[in-house]
Amino acid sequence: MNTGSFVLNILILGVPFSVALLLAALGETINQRAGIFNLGCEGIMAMGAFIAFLPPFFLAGTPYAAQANLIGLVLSMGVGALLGILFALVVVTFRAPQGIAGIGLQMLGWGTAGTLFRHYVGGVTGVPGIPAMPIPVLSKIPILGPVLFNHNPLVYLAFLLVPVFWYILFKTPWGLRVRAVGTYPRAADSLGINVARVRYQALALGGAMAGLAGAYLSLAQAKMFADDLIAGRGFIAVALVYFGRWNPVGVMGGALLFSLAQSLQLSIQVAGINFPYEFAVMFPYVLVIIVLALVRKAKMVGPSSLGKPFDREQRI
Amino acid sequence: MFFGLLLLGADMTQRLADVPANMVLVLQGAIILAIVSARQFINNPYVQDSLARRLSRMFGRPMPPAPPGSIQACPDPSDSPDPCLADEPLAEALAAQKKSSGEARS
Repeated sequence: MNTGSFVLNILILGVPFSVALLLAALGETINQRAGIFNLGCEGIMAMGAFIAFLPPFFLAGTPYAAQANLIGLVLSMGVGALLGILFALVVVTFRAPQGIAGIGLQMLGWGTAGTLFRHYVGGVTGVPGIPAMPIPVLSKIPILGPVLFNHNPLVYLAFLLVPVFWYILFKTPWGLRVRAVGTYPRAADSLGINVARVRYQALALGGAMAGLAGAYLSLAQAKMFADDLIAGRGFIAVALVYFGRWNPVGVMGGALLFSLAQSLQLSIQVAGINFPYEFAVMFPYVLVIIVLALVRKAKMVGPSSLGKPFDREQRI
Repeated sequence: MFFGLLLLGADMTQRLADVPANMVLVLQGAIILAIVSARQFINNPYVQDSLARRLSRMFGRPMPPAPPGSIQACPDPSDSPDPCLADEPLAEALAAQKKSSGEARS
């Protein structure tokens, strides 16, 4: 394999790898901007992946098979939003510690998905999944075509959502309310903003995005479901929000960087390059730690009330 | 210690009752969420009161009496002396203030 095709292979693999991380991290950005960090993202992704997998699995060979993927995507977003609301009930209404509640939600989501999978499906089975949809003309461009324009529709959707989320966060009244309740909820409350309601909405949206990220993994990337399908991507998504400094564009950069490192380690193994396998697997995670350590030194512009429950009756 | 006991219980349930590991995770997650939520609920009588009122409104049952001095019991303390504030010094002060302002106007 020559160097050119080796690099091209890394780029072609890297873009679709970044999508699950990007979708989950965009949702997590909204959560964290509203002052809640959702460590249960991993569990919501697992539930989303499982729920999205069910319609194509059960509707195969029926007249509804063509719509099965779409039904799966909608259901996974719905379940993700419901789990987000459950998390909001625990951390906003009951003001539970967000870290512990997030771990609880992660275990609940992961365990429920695995248990239901064992009960209704049994073993690892493939589904047709979402096919690739090359964009006419653009996919024929050398190098750029296969890297950017020869993927399934969810890849294009994920990258289109980046400017959409940026616009929602920084240019709409709702985005301003989200940032206000995450930065100084007491001031937002005194201006008549319902802090709890905004946080519920943000967590529902974040949950729906995490569900969609899980659905992408089971329907478009792996085209199957297994217990360890998510493989820590939910936690990586939380880290990417810090890396991207709570900005959708920065988050996209982080997702691409991590997925390119992931695709590099896979390409090294596939190419048979004489490099220790363990170090190759370790590489993307070490890269995230190094980058986060560097970002820590830079000016942080995160929400100042991140992780702090809001109690309007509390004396200050 | 709580997490240690939870893990030990999970192992034993898996071995003795043949409950799959994933089910144990569901139980662990549900217990953690219930405990962290219950702490706030148990410590705060106003949350309990508000939930009880919301539930009774939802199911159409008569509302339980509000605890004395709570916000629900006294919706607007600036109004004329409310029966729920009858014993409170604030109500007396408000009544006296209204009386004096009425006299001054007349």
